Amino acid sequence: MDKKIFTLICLLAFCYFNTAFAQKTGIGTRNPVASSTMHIDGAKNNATAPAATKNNDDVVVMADGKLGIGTITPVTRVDLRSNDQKGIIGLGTNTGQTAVQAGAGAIRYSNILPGVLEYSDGEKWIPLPQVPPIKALVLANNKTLQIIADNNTSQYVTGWLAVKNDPDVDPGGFTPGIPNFNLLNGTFTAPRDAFYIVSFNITLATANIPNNSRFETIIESNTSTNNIQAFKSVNSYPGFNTPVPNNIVSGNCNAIFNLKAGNTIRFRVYHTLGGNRNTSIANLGVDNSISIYEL
Amino acid sequence: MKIIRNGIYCLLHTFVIAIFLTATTVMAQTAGIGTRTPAATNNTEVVTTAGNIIIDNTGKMGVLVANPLVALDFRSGTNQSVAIGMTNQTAAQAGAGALRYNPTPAIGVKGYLEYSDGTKWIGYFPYGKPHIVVMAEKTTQDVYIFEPGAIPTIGPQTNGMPQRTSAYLTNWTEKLDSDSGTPTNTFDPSTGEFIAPRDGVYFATFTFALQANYIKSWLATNANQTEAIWEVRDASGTIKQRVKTSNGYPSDTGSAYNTSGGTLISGSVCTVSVFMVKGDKLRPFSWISLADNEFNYAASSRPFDTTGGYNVLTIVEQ
Repeated sequence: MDKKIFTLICLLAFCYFNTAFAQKTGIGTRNPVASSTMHIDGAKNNATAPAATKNNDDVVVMADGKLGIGTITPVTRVDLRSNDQKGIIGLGTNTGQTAVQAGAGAIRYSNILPGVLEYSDGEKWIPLPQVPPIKALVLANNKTLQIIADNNTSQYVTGWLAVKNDPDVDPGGFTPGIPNFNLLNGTFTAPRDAFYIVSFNITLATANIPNNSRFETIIESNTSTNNIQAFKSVNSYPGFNTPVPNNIVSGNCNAIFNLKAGNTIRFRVYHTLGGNRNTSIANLGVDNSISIYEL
Repeated sequence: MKIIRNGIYCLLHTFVIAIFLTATTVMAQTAGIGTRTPAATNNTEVVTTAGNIIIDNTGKMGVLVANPLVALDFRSGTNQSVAIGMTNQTAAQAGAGALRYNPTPAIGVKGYLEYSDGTKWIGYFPYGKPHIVVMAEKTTQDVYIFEPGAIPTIGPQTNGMPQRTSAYLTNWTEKLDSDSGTPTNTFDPSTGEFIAPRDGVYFATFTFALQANYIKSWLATNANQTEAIWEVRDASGTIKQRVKTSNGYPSDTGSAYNTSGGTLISGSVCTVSVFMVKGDKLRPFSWISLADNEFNYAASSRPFDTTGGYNVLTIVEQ
């Protein structure tokens, strides 16, 4: 009898200390998991179910604030990864809050676009992408003979031959269904607010290159807002008391523009070669080329 | 003694019964917070003024949802969204299936969602991955001589490019320093130095052109030449890479002493794609040999043409 009493006293003491110091709450279970603050056993089966499945119906709040549903070992703030592979979230629409009110990081099932999840970046609801974003891409050559006058600052290269200039089909884009690059007048129109990386090569057909002449390859946009409006690349031909050579002249320029939808890019040449010069129409037009791609 | 012993025994007996009853109660009943009558199908109910948060007998949690169909169900009422935040856990620590909101910009957005596949975080980029974009135009004549040449003194200079001396182009006018359209601080316009904020391939181009002047190096060994160079250094300052474009000029323009001589704009352009790790530094510099005065290089520095478009730099993360 003494032994039994001693055992009981020990048990009571253990229970008391356990409760007083660990401060764990168990609902549906008498054995809340270690380092939990609250342990709810949904099916009240922790004592009877096999170990592999008994926690699938459990919800725990750990001492560090992590919430586990279907798991008693959450490693993220909310952890739904359970052995029964049913650990998913059911999200609904959110018609009562703006993206600003819901705040950055909020996720909803769209009430506007069918079958799409959207998240807030703190400013707007953004659909999660289902296809890669549409990006403008233009590749073109030029074999249209064009006469470039001496010392003239407004001569743009026109009459391009498309290698790649697909219509932009973005429903929110600029002039849907029309290619972004106008081949005839050589003007590219930005379909979206974006950065555009541009390259331009141009060749003038063989002619005199007088001493101390120069040639400039120029890519221009029509905006200076948070943007460098023009990029100029200079080729110089110094000469002094030397015979005037007869050869092709060519140049290359690369540019990066920060454009708003509707802004434009054009390609220009400038020279001081002392008279009219023809653009090269040799080599099927590859003497002259441009590339534009949207970042 | 026996009475006391019996007394203790009786007391303990009562305790044991009480504990048993308590345990039975806990096992049998559902828990309610703010309610005395939780539904029998629920394990736990928490009453709020907007509705109940419940955990049913299969462990599913419904937030204002009476019959949750999935582990965590928000689908009722008006505002059914969930909000998640950023974690500094690695993808392996958070584990496959973890979702986070990364509050750094990508093209067109201020932040984006990422999930873990167990080894890496994978981002959803609605309009394109993040890109650093820097644009600057040179509107001053400032350079910094860092390798003595014809000019023997290291330090700043304010009258354009020195002859035959390597100098960084400094004091730029910054037009844009952005991460995907959101302002950032990767480029120092006073030094012309860009520091990579993350590992990646950076496409960079810079142009420089000098105001029209005579192109005439007097010594036959000093060929007329202009060079544009991009330089990559690591965080400690050790040179990792230099990429150079050199324009050589086969003839002179003549000089001020020749009545038939003329002046000419000259310059170079350098375009590169370089791989940089976080903290690497990218900086443009030039070297020219165009002097018309072999006796006084210091007096023959060449000012930049700042009329627009001739001296610009851009850096773009690919």
